[in-house]
Amino acid sequence: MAARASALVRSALPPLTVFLTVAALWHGATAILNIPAFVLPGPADVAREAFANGARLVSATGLTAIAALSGFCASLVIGCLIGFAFSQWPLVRSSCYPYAIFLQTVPIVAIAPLIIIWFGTGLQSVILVAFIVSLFPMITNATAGLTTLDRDLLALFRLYHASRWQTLTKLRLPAAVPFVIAGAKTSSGLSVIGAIVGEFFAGYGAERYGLGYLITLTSGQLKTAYLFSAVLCSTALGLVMFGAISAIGNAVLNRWFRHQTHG
Amino acid sequence: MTTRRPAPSSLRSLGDGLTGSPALVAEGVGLTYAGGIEALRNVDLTVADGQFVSIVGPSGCGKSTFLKAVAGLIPITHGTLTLRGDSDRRADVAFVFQSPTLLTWRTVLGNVELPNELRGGGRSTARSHARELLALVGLADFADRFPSELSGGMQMRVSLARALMTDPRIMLLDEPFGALDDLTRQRLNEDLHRIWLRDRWTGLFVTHNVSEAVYLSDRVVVMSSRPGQIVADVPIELSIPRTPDHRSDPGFAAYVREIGARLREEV
Repeated sequence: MAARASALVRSALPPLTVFLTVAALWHGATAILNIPAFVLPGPADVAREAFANGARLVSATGLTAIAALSGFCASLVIGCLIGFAFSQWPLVRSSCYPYAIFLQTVPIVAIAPLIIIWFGTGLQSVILVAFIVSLFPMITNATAGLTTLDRDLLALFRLYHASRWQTLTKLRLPAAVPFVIAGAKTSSGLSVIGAIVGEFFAGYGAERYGLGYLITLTSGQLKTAYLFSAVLCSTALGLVMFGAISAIGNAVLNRWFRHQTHG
Repeated sequence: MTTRRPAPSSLRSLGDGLTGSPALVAEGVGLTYAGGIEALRNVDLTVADGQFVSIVGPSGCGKSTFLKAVAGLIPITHGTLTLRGDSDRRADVAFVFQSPTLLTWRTVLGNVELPNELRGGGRSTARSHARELLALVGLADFADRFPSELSGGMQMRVSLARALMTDPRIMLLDEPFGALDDLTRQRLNEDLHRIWLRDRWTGLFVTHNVSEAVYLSDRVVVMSSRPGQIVADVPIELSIPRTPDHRSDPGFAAYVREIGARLREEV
């Protein structure tokens, strides 16, 4: 237990030191150079604003989290289904893949307003933006997972006259899981970005808004310290999402997919 | 040492009186890939039921390709291949690959049961059969472990047990111990030999390790570099069962030297 605690201290100490150093330099710079708070607030200003608006920040972070998580879950499910279709029917893949790349290359900031026009302001549009942004890595990873297979394992299944269904359920689907996990890690971070971009354009109405809306609002009013605290909340949300998905994914990988040793 | 022995005399080299139709007859087998690369040319090989034959040859000579063709995993382009007088070549055949090829998400027991599941066999008898086979390969206590918890040698034992699951009459082994250290390889050779003596399936064993081939086999066949052809067929007339003592037997050393010399001509 003591060893564990000291290991935790050892791993937490260097980044903590960096954090404190940067905060100190930042504070010193704003104080000495006399930078106005609306241009660059010091860490103390940010902390003060964060505490003063704590309730608002928490509710905004919660709403953004709901949107991001919903978008992420949708892309997880739909991405896997599309990947499955791509892997099973090459014609579907070759005819639809270029349009899947569209998801990756389209500037989401450009089409978010369109989505608001079509689907209205509100949670549904924000979820849709988060979904579009996080879908592509799921599709590519699920497709790769379902089509990349150990040739000898496939030969083994052929040798025992395994049906297509057996090969799918006993080999292809389980073998794709590590790929899906890798895709989910990427998607989880992207879904937070997507939700915030969506919120730039759509509030949830009646004094309910997420971090993205809060960011545009506070930047418009030059409440820069408040803006900083909202940005920090966005970053923290992204980290928590990524961390949670990674932790779940790594637990699954460690249990079932550790690489075979050959020695 | 005899080169190009005709099939009937090689049948007699078995020494324990097994008769009946041969387990494997390859006649004029050739395999040319679509790209024009000729992997095998005019391979003739007859293996009697219950015989253990090793194929040695330089790397890339097509010996693994031949084994996969026998298993029906790669179609041949010339000649005929018959297993136990049957044209459906995949019947009764088990294959052990170079790597353990285990499903990492299944337990050891689950991996051994796989062939039975794929063939739609009964579950309860399969479980006890799988446990017997794990005991046979010395892994009775590891049934509920995952492959990643096992060493390379142990994973190969699981792979062997899995191959035995369907009570095959023909075992095709494609350099199964190539990745293992010498000591582990020798132990596995001894266990494989013991299992073969127990079951007397027909064994076709590909390796580039001559000593291993001599230890396990009734006959060692030497294949030339690509396109693979059989250039020597050496009956190993050492007493059976083989024991670790055989490795220090002068006769054993003479076989290893002869086959090694023949092999070096091909490299």
